[in-house]
Amino acid sequence: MPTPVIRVSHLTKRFGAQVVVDDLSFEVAAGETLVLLGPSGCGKTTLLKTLNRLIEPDGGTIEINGRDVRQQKPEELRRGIGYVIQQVGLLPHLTVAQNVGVVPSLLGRPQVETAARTTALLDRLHLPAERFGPMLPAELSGGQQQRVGLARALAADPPVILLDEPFGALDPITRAAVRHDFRELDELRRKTVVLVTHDVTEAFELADRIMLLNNGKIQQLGPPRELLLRPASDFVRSFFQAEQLALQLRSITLAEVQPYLPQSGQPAATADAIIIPFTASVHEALGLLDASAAPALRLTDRPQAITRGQLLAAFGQALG
Amino acid sequence: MHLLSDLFTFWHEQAGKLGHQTLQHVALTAAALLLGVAVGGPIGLWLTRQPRWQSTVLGAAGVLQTVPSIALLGFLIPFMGIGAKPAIVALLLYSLLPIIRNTVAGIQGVPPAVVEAARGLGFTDGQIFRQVELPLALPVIMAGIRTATVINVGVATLAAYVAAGGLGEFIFEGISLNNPVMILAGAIPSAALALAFDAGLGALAALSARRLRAVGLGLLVALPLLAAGYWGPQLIGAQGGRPALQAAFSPEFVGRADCLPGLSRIYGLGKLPHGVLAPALVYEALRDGRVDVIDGYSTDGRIRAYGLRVLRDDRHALPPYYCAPVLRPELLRAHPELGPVLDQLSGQLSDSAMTNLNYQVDNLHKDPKAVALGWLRRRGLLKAPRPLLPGAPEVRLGSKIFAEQYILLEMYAALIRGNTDLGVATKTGLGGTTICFEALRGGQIDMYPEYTGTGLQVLLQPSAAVLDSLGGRPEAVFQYVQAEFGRRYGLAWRAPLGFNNAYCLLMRQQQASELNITSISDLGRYLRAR
Repeated sequence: MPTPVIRVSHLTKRFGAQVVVDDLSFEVAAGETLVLLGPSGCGKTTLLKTLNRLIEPDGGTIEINGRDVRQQKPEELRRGIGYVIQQVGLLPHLTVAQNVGVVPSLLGRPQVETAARTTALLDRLHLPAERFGPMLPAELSGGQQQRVGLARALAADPPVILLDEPFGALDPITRAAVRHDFRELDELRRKTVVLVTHDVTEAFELADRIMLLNNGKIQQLGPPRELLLRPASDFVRSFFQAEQLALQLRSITLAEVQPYLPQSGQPAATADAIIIPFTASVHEALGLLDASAAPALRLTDRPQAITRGQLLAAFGQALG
Repeated sequence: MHLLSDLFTFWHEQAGKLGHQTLQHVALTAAALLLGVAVGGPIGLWLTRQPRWQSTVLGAAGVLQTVPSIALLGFLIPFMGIGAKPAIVALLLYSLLPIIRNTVAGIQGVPPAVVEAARGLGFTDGQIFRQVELPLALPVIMAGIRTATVINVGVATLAAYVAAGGLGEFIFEGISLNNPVMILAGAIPSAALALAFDAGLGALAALSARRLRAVGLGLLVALPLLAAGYWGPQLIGAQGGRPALQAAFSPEFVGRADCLPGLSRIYGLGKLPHGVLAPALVYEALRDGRVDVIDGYSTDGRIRAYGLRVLRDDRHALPPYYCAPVLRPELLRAHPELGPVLDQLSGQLSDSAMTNLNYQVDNLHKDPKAVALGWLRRRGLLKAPRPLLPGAPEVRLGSKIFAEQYILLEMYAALIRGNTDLGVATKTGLGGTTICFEALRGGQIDMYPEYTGTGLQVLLQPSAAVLDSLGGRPEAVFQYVQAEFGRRYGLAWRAPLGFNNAYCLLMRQQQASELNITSISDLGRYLRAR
């Protein structure tokens, strides 16, 4: 494991008599996306907010980039950590461009530099700065506002980003679109990201690792497919029960179903088939088949065509 | 149309006074507003940080708001004296509630998500306050300041009652003289000021939340400049040194041709600088040495209580004010037995007797009814009230709002109850001459005690030629008033009670002795010698 950017040990937080975060220890590696998942009241948001000291823990330590967060002024700590919340919370009296540039200006960065950075970020998030920059937040749709919120968190190029249910307030279609842009953002791939959600699909789509929490305790921490295929407890199993099939389709790759595909068969006519890599999930393969109306697809180093039926059959066998 | 042209003529003639009063009015309002923002703003902000104090503080400010303004002023006088100070403090107290309440509402109205996001991005508490909460709350806070302003412009008219000047001077002079032109001359500019202030602050608020600094600076620069309008001229005036004697007169005394203007002409009091003060406050102002000369009534109990000296009207410039009941003749036609009952008081009360009765009420704080009954008893006029038959007709007695009238009212009530089968209803809350008179004419009351001089000057308002012919002779004035009331209004005067509650000039006994002043002529001589 690469050097951890975030190191949490024995973190505890009580509200009155209730223990909300119960002696948690974990690490987040540089560039990793950790998703905090769990039912309402499991402590995931509280845990997130202790990372940038919006909530002060009752016990334990948090180190970010090797420094104890309590040894820094809260506002200086926070200026080095991107923060996105569900309600966005754009400053309504500032323009979109001013909102994006708010942290760099708190840090006293040169205005020219900030302006260039703002323009680049807005353009990349499909909000052309020329048109959207001078607008006020109230003039934007919910999805557009959340993109601005994302740009704002990234503006000062912080190594760590915290997101608290960033897509939770959006309608399903907008949510999918914003989430897609979020995933495609190069910027984010290099960041260490901690994201809170209660949406299982979202967690599987975005996470390198998922931390499933209940009653302030870690139920399981690992890659999504591990939680799905090797649940550590009944709680973990039942948590994913409802969406099990959809999750399995997403987490099982073509490489895993390949042994179960028929070994003989028609070589596909190149024109008719879509070529797809082994690393793609079954879900992606099915999606491509549906979208292209092609009769079959072909794996990169396998001559035979695979039909929809063959793929589903192999997927069933792979699950055992 | 007539009224309108009179109004413009009045403004034209009194342009200097109008300008001065407007300036004072603006200054009082601005000063109170500045203090209101300086005090109310921080209190409001503090309350957003200490929410458990909110209900207490807002409740207290709300209670202040419900105290009638004239009562609040009266309450402040013992601590702050008269002049601008109590006026500004009263206005300040009135402006607190809207300013505090809107500051709290404005700050609390900032969406919590915005504050949380700002904090999460690394704003310090101070930055959140200055860059997030304040700009977002500003429109609401400004709305509170505007409310306070409009309230203040209105309440500031009452400043004229405590010698702080302002447009209320015209208004109260107009009310006491029954002169609608004069009332409008003060009321219209006052209303216009309220609108102008409101529009100005509205324009300032429209600068929008983005220009917080501009709005704040605008307020901080404009208000002190406006407030300076009050003290600027005073400071320049003060370089001339304190005048020899300072006077304070009630609005009616200032405005009436036969009072201050007449006295000034006859005795040469031109050099006597004076302020305008509520009639109820002039005695205390004189006692406490805030002023040296006031107008008063010759039967007022406080003359005795405060050690004051009535300056002899040696040239008979002030008109006679013999007191007599004025009533609706229908009353006597319906109940002829009432006439002799009312006349039992005729000629029975001397100046000193009335002064003494007033003293008991005003200064010994005895109940007017007890004082009235006590006097009747000593005179052998008191009879036990007759049992009231159901459906018995009722005589409605009115009075103006001062002790002497209350006492007389109780005397008449007791006489009617003891000597007739009629019921009695008393209405003691009739604010002034005009109100009493109109109530009588309109049939809301049947009778009230009036003074010949008031009937002559305030109600009949005869020409100068008529006044000259009457020459201030008590008998002639009574006969003229009696005849004219019958002719013009169909109202009747009964025989006078005996005392003359005339206007007089008063000084402190001690100072008057030191300066050797016993008459108004002496006062004129003293002023001219300076």
